[in-house]
Amino acid sequence: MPVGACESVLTVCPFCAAGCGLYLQRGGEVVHGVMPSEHHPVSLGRLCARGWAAHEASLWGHRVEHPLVRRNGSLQPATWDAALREAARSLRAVIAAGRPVGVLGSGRATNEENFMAARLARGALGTPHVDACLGGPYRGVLAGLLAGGAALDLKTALADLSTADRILLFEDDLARTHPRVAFSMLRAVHAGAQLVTLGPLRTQLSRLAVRHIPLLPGDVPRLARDLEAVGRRVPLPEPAAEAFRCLVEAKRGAVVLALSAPAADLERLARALGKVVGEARRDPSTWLLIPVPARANTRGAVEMGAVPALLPGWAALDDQSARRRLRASWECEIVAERGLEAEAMISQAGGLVVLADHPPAAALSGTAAQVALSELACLVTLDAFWTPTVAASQVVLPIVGPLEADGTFTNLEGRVQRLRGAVTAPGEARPGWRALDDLSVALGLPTIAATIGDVQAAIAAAVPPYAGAIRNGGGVVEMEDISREAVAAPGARSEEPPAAGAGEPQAFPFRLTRLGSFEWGEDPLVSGSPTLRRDYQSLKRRYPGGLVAMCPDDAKRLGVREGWRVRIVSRHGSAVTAVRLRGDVEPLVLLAPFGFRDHLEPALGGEAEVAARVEVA
Amino acid sequence: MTAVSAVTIATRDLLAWVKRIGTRGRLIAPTPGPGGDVLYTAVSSPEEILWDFENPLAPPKQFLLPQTDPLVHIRRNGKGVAVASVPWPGRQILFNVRSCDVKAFAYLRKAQARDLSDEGYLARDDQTVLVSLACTRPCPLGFCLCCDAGPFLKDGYDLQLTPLGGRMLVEIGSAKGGELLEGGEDWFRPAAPEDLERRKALEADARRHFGAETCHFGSAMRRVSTGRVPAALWDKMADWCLECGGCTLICPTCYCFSVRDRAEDGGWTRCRIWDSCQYPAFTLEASGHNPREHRGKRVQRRFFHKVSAQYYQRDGDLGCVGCGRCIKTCLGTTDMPAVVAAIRKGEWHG
Repeated sequence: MPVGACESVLTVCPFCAAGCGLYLQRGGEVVHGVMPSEHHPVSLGRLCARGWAAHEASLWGHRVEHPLVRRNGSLQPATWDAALREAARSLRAVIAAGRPVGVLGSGRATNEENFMAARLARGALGTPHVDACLGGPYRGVLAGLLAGGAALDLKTALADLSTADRILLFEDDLARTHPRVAFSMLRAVHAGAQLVTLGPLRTQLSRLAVRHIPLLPGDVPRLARDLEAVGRRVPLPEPAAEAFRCLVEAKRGAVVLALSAPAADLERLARALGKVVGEARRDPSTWLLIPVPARANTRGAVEMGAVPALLPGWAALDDQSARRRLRASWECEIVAERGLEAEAMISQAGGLVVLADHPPAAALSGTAAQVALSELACLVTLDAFWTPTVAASQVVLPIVGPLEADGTFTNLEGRVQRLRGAVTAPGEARPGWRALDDLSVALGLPTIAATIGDVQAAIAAAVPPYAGAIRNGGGVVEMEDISREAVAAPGARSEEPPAAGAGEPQAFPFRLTRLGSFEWGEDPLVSGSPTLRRDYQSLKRRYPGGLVAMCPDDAKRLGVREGWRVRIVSRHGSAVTAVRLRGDVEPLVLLAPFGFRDHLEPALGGEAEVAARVEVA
Repeated sequence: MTAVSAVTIATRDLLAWVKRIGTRGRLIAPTPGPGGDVLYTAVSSPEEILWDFENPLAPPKQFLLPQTDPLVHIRRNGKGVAVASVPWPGRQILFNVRSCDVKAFAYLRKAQARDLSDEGYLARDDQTVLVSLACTRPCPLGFCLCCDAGPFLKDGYDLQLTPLGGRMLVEIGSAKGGELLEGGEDWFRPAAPEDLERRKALEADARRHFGAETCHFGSAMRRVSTGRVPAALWDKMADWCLECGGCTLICPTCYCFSVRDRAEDGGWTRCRIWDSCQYPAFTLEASGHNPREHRGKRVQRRFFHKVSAQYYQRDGDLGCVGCGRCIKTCLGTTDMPAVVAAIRKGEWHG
């Protein structure tokens, strides 16, 4: 390992959807560090803690360096040809047995990789089952806003957010999940904006707000229903009235949607918000609606077609011209049917191809998802890092990591930004798009990707709004906002659940809910980083039997203290876990942080929120 | 260390001189980066070097204290282990470094020489020649004037360059610096009195052209050192900090680190890696206890180290050189001038 860095390579941060620019500092074949880019239009010289450690996972993480094939129960090194043959054979066997196969793209993968993953599914495997973890809630929010009639223009969302005078923020904890977006909010509040926060926690941003409204997942359908009644029903009940006031009083308002809740509920809330904003706005430029996708390229994964109900470019499945473009671009027939969503795919498919992801980290029940993955007849994983998903695979194909990859990410604003590989990947890793093309060839399709330029040309042909960005060389490029033309996926509408605890307040006075939709601590970009993994790992060590967070006043009333074990009982069952006292938790609320959700699953019973009581164990 | 002499060199001869300097070690200088940023880079040709630039956001400290700093290789050796130090590349010349960064290197050297001295760092420092480029035009967010770290330096440099128009004044601050002039006698002329007068005039003019950022360290130091900053004020400021750690990582005087072993080539390399006192886990103890779990405590700690009289007396300097980088890189609003103003006034407005 050489000392010191001599060269700087400009690339994009691989973590959240903000898409900050950073320099990788290279010395020989090692990236030693990162530096923010002062002139990058998104980050303007700033990075969050994750960005500052963006090089660490590649340097310290457990890498997948060689193709592996499971033989006699263990993963054995194999040649690329042998691994591809085995992957194709296993996937064909599942199809021949009449069981579904699916492909999971990823918000950690590039546009080029996700595009080739969509081709692998709808072209090579002839399956409609293609999705990306965490894509569903983002699609739901976006589709809801558009269906509500809101004009959506995200091209300068982060800069414009700083100049808003009213902000309605739906959040889990934006300062932690998307610090760059939170930065714009701080700037706005500093300049005098009135911030109203809605969410399950009294977060850092809620402390700067003029008002914080507690909002648990179970409250979302009711809030949506009340907002839907705007114009028909006076007076509005709280908290819809507060939200409505914020929406109509703004001269230059913003709604930021970064809350975790069931996708159908979020879609309904977004539709109601879109409707109110659409009706209230006088000038389209005065309103800003920002859906916040979870990961660096969650938006790109959706736009590249890693989605069960749309074709690449947000094209409807029955869009004949999109189908024609796609057939020409992919050089194959396509399956244009609606497929299973990610979570259903994991539990129902017989075979799965997973691209650059560890799906249990985003599943409602991580343990159940991991068990389902291990029971698949065929699991093929393409990844740069070792994860439990890789360990459960039948075939593992090593691909390049974020510091080695060339390609593009699409940030939450729709900027198509170029990733530049700074060093050579270890071992026999190939670019993900090439590995997916190789797998498609093994399944009988012609190759379309001799170079990354071929993939980008295919994207440009299939998704015309990307053509300009790609022609430009994929620097920092603003793209026409194609989501404006989005076709809303006709998602299943959930019945409005009864408010947790309704009808049984004495038996179950608490509201138990999981917090968040994704655990960064289980992502290899964090778990492989010595600086970033400390918080989550120490929490895991401190609470090996799980934890439930409650406010100190409730704990005092119950006579329990930090670390004591309690039994959480709901109509589904019960779970015993440790108490963690947090001043940011609302009274009569029990929170299961996403990384600890599995310990409370017997009580949650698969629901986002459930009425519960606490018994001292 | 004070300037012992000064010479001038015609602008037309500068590149030839710099080329010769490049033969004496690794030459690192500000260059135009790919994203429109100015970056310190190892240069192979003097034509790459920038002479008129705003101080880069990335400080040159990484060339003495890399973000990932391999220190020793460790290998199994029978029943024990063999440890070998990682060789440092050798002599390097940091060229066209701004005054604040030169002052920061002096601070870092003192920090590394104190108590259990870091001999490895000091050896690197000995092998590094600092050629400073005086700031005739202060950068918009700089406040080096408040920290006695610019715009021109009185000492601390090996060479200090001042563009006089048609020629460059070269002040020699050390024997290491003087060595860079050897062999170029034909290029250099002793500085004339009018050259030195011109330098003085440029410095005076620069001092009149600072931007709006100021830092009244004196009164902040009194308050911080005597515990007169209420805990509630630290907590209030902490709500405007997003825990990015950027203020510490980009600060040319910060040197907090962690130690990690990296497996490679059948052994391990023990590395020092940058860390930040603003990260919650920085002070997390093995027991799970964290004395600075709350962000307000961490912000307090940072500014106590930077501006308290206790540290000033120990270090002989503030832990700030007024480069203004924390203003540019702070993901919240808790940069040095903002916090110092809040400490001084006893109130915070975000």
